[in-house]
Parts: sequence; structure tokens; C-alpha cells
Amino acid sequence: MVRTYLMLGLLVLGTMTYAEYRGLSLMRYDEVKNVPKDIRNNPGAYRGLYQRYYFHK
Amino acid sequence: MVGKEAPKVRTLSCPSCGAPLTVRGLLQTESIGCGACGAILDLTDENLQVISTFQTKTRLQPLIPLGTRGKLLGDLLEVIGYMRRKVTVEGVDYEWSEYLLFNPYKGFRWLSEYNGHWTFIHTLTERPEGITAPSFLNRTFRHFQTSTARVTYALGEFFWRVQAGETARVEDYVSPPYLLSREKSEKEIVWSLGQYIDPEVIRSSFALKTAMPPRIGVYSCQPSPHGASASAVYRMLAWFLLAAVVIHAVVGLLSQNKLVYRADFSYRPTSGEKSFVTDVFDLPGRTSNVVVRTHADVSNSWMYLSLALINQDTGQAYDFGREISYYSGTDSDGSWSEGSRDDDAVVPSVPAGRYYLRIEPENAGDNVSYAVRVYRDVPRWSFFVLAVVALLVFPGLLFSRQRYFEIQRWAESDHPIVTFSSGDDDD
Repeated sequence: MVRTYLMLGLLVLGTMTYAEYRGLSLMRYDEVKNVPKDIRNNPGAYRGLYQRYYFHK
Repeated sequence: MVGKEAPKVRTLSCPSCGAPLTVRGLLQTESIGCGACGAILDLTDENLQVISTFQTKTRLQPLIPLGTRGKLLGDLLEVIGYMRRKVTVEGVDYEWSEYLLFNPYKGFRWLSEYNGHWTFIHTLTERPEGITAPSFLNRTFRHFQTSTARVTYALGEFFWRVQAGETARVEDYVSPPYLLSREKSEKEIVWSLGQYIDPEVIRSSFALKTAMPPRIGVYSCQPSPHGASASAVYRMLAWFLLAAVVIHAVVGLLSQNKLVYRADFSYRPTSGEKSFVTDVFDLPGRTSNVVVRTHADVSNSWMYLSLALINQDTGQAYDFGREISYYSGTDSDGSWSEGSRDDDAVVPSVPAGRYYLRIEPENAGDNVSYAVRVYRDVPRWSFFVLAVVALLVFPGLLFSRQRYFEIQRWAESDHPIVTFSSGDDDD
């Protein structure tokens, strides 16, 4: 029992340390790769995945 | 029995029924119970006068037969007597067995068995300190129960003149695995100390072939099976919590918490294309979070922002949406409000680089001013809180099990932790 809790505690602390150091978050988001650079000139051409998810799902 | 000396026994015949009786207690026993007829005989009388007779027709067979020898807690002991005693509490009889053990050099000991729980008992020559919460062995004992115990059956030898139905006022105090008992009879007050013994220890000590009766419930001085490990787990919890605080503080100190972009905007629903991009800003340092903090002057209205944090060089985008809404008013209960004009969006694990935001606002058709602030590497509490909760779960379950064990222990005492009222009480 003590060993189990020791392992569990170390795992929790390790996860917490990693999550805090790397700035993890529970926020829902989408990652999009290779967004064309001309989006800066024509922002309306970009349709984010999250926008579609939010309005149409 | 002890050393090289052969055990000294003598054989008698019961004057009441003629059954053979074996005397093992040398000259230190004063009475003997006949298992055949229930008579208690006076061993100090050369004619073996009958002191008393148990009327019960049931002839009980002790689990550990008389004459059985065994080594218990370092002492070689022989079973010479067996009796049944009972107490009656609120109309319910609670009956248990007591075995009298003898060693000519050590004297007498007792083994008590109740519902499969065994206690090894010896009489104290010194009186414990204190009355309501006596102290002994550097322990403070808690009162468990006071009752009147009555002898219902006796077999074999005893060091006093046992009477059928004789009573004693018994006060039990517990500090697991020890049990302190104060027995007050007409003639004397005797203190004794019991120690809880695992049934398997009894079985192996006396080389018993029969199975031990199963343990039922929790006995008054039964040590908690979680006791030692629970203490270690609670100590460990304290260290883990301290470590979590230190880690959180260190990560917080290492965090930049840097404002990397700020701008104020106005939303005009009548304007054409609503989406736009911000200036490019730097996200320095290690891979860490980015907090997009927005404030919108909405009142009884809402605003939705489709946001994309885009790396100018790699084209990688973090796409998310945030709704800001704030409503307020008054009703019969007074003023009320719900929602907030402020919002924090935490984009996780964003590598360093040059980024910009693409923002596309929506709302119900009002003109709204809003502000956007972007912070880099902001310390957050969420994982610290989650870690603390996760660390508490295991000790919490352990504590619950310990608590349940103690509730069961004290259920049959004079001081139950939880009392249950019967259905009749509701009438």
C-alpha cells in the first residue's frame, strides 16, 4: 500500500512538474499546419477548424 | 513441561458422577469442573466437596482441549481450565470462551475467544494510573464497555473456587492491540492486560488440527489492518503536498509571465470583412503556454471571437474560439448578473517564434469595444490543484476504510461512533 502510494505520488508530482513547466492546458483547441503566408493579406480566406466546429457541430 | 521435568498430574474421580478428572495445576488450583456432570469440586477439600453445579445439559468441547500445551509469546503454557462467560446488554447475550493456561514457573494466563477473535491475557500486579482513561505501557486506554459478566460453564481447573453463575463487574478499556480490564467481584478488584492475537498464531502455537472459527466483526482491541501503513501514507501525503507547493513555486519563479502583445479594437457589425490579423509579436523562451486575455465591453449581450495563433514562419496555427457574455438586471430578489466581460484562453505548449493572431469577431449586432492581451509563459494553478486532488484521493479512501473499521469496533461499545435508531423510534 505504501509503495503503491509512493509510486502514485511520484507519478502525480512528475506529471504536474511537466505540465506546469511545459505550460500544458486543458483548453480545447485545434492545430492547423501549413497555414499559407498570404493569410496576412487576406484574413477572410482563413476558415479555422475550431470556428467550423463551434458553429456547425 | 518446562526444562527436563516431566509434568506432574494426578487423577481423581468425580464424587458426583464418577468420571475421571485430571489435575494439572499442581497445588495452585482450588477447584475443578467435571465435564461429565457439570459439578465444580473443591480441590482443597480432601473429600472433593461439590461447590456448585452447572445445570446446562450441553457439554461444551473447548476448541483447545484441556492438557494441550503450546508456546505463546515466549511462554510454554498448558491449558488446564475452560469456561464460558456472558454479558447481557439491552436484552442481547454476548458469550465468549476463556481458557486458563498454566506454567508452574510463570503462573496463570488467560486466552479469551469471542467471535473468532483471540486475546492473550495476564493479571497485572500493579494498578494502572488514572480512572476514566487509565494509562499503562505508556499508552492511554479508552473506556470501551462496562458490563456484568456471568460464568455459564466451567470445565477443568481454576485457581479460585468457581461458582456456577458467579458474576463480576467488568470494565474494559482499549488501546489496540491491548485491552485493559478491571474486574470487580465481591472479594477483590483485579486488573488484567490483554493482547490481541491472530487466530493463526493460536493454531500454530497449540498445533491445533481443527480449523479456527472465522472472525466475525471487529473486536474491541483488534488492531486496524490499515494502521501502520495508513500512518506512513499520511506522512507521505504531507511530503508530497510540500513537494507540490515547492515545485509550483519554483516553476512560477521560472515563468516569464511576459506581456508580448496588446491592442484595443472596436467591432462594427456594419463593416465588411470582420476578420483581421494583428501585428507580429515574439514568443520568447522555452516551449510554454500562451494566455490570450480578452476584455469586451458587452452588456446584456455576447461576443464570440474566433481566434488563431499563427506562427509566421512555420504556418502552424492554434485555432480556438472564445465566447464573452455578460448579463445583469434586477428582479424580486434584487440585482443579479451572470457571465463576465473578461476571458482567459490558455494555449498550451507553444514553441518560441514569431506569431500573430487572426481574429474574427461575431456578436448580435452591437458595436463593441474589446481589448486583447497576449502573455507568454504564465504560471497556472490548474495542474497544481489537480495534483493536490489526485494526491488526496488515496489517503482519503484509506481514511474512510479506517474510519469504517473504527465505527465497527465501537459499535458494540458503550460509546458507538454512529448510532442507528430503530424503525420503532420513528412512530
